[in-house]
Amino acid sequence: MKKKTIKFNNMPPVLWMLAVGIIVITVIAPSFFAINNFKNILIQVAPLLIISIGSTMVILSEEIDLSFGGVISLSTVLWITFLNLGIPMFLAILLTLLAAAVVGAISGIIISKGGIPSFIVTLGMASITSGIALVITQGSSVYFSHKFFYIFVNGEILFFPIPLILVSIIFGISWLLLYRTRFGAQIFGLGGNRDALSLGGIDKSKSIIGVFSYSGLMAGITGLIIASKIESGNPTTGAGWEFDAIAATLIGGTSFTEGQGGIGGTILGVLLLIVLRNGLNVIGVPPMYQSGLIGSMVLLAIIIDVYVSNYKSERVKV
Amino acid sequence: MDPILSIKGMSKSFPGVKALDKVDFDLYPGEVHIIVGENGAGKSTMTKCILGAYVPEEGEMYINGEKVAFKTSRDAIKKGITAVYQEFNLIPYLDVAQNIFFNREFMSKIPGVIDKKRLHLEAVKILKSLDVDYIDTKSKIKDLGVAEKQMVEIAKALSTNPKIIVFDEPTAPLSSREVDAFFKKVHQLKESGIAIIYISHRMHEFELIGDRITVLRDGRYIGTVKIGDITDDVLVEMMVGRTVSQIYSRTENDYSEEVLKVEKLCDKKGNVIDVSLSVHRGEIVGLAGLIGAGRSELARLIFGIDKIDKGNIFVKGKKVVPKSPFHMMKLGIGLLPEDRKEQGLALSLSVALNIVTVSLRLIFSKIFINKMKMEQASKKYIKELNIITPSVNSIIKFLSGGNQQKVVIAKWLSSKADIIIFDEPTRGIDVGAKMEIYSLMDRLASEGKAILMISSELQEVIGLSDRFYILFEGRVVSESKKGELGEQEIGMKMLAGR
Repeated sequence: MKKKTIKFNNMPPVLWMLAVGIIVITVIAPSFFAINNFKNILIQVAPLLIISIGSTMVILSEEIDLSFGGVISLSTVLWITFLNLGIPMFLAILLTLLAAAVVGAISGIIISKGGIPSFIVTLGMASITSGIALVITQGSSVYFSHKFFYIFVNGEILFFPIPLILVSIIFGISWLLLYRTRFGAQIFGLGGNRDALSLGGIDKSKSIIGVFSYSGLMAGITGLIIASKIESGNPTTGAGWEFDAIAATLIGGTSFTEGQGGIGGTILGVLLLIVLRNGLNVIGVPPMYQSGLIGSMVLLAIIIDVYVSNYKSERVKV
Repeated sequence: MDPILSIKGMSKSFPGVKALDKVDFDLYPGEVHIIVGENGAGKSTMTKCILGAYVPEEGEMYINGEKVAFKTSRDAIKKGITAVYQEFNLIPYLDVAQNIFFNREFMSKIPGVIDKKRLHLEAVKILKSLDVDYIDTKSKIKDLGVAEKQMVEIAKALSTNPKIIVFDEPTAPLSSREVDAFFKKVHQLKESGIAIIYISHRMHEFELIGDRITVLRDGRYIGTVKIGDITDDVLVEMMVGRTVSQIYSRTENDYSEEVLKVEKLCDKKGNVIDVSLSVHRGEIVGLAGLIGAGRSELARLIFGIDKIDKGNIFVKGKKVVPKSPFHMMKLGIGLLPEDRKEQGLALSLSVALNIVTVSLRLIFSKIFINKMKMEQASKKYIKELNIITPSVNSIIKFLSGGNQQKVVIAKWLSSKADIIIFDEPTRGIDVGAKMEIYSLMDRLASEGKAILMISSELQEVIGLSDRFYILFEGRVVSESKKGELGEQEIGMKMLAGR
């Protein structure tokens, strides 16, 4: 029997959690519900969504990338350092992104060719990248001044904030990559049935290296946005981003098994995370309490999601 | 007509085993050629060589008279050889069309981008040719039933325009109605001139589907026969190397003490109704019946897994109310569950640990496990039950089904169980290993153990039990001694209860 009447049932849990979150925060602090604040939220979404897209692709292929934090830090430092060396802006951006992608590719090579679990490889890579960043900067920040930074973060084209335009383009490309190319099908295959890949004549290691390179590239772009925001390169600025990216992915309904999920849900996961963070600020919760609160809420959200989907699949079986 | 595929003297070794030893084989267009043999006979090694997944060390292979030597599965696909595997090789969160054309997608004009429209169009065409266009090419694989998945797998194979298709145990996951539909498809493929290699050990299927049978044993070619030319008994003899009457050989025992007695037993759900039975030392008692007749439920009641509603259980003359499996274990009852991989074993632990899991108390007095003692205890059973394993510390999942089952038996023997309930003891085990399990059960009975055996294989119940009960819809409808009832009568009672 097909039920069409109860649509609520088919809604992903993240959607009503988002609704509940917005309502609760608005009730406590009505100033949350203002056009300006929404614009603020949308701008904050950009860097987290970009990195979460990378994380989603990795998790879809039944791997994990814990190196985001380190790669982001390294990217900010590399970019600023390149600029300080007198390398032109465009070339500096290109080189930075290339470096980030290469870091991902190296992780991918060790994981696929060495057969070593991705969590330990990328955890090591996180240490290595932030270590390199620390050496380059000798432990402090590096600075450079350029009007590009301001435009990149605060500029608008036809009232659309530039970060939002950037993230839309990246989302579009990633969507095409995931749902309309062989590479995308291979990502679902990596998570869903690796034997099907080999029998289809595909070199699994190439797909894995590809996924991690893409995720490295996403970390690189995020690094550019963050560096523009703080107008400097900082060897520790990326710390903690990997948790946000993985949390947003999981809250968005992507699962570690079978290649279940997609980048559409990740948008909602990112929104929920940013709304919570922004909401705590608007309500006036002191910063030192926020980290713990966000962590608990994220865990709660993931638990709710797992319970709801278990409940659903059990009902299907019966 | 010339064969489309012919193999001469093919050999392949793995460390320590000669998996294929100078095997000959030929296959004609429009033929369904069945390959049979016990597990380890070389069936899958042979087909993997044909599919290019393994490279044989010796021998020649000809396709349409042309000599070929495959290095990878791609080479085989190019020559029109493909396979439908036992474990589905589909990707759960991709749709049907994407799975059918996986890595062979149609590309649009934009470089790198898949032409989805064409993909679905072509997928619909293939599904239509298989008469299964009710399968939506846009649904994800995870939402399909087993039979539909199988059809998608076949569609995937067909989309490569194969001349030869290898089916590996294709009917194992299907229900009987689905099997009929599947056979119809195979006939269609056959009529269109495709040659089919069909691996199966379901003998009743052979005459429905096959043209010829090739028998392999221990990696060697035993012979090729036409279907209908020989009886099942002869075929089994070819596979096993022994005659059927040797398979179920029982020693005559004197029954002594009645160690298990069940009186008017009922469970709470109505799956077991007023069941009475008894088992003596030295006796093998069979429980026949259809799936759902209440046999496994009865075993669960006796073993204390489920609570009894009414009725009495006597163990060695004393009335007991089973509280838990642990309680019944202490009274000397053991249960070999139906699903040995899920319920009987810890698959990723060693043979030794699996053997001692239920008898830890008996072997060790203190808190810590003594590895030496554990290995000694296990070695004793490995020798006694002839368990083939590289060592006591080998991981159990790498053992064959028959040897895994022996480990489960060892587990109960080590806990000093003397009333053992076997639930489908030989499911998924090949003929040779079955015989070993049978003779083991016979030996246990001779040593004074009491055995209650649940089996869905009629031959097994008839051949092995001294006495057997037939259950129908939760009730005992018949109790008879060995040889009292004919196969027809037993079948009737199982199906209709009279």
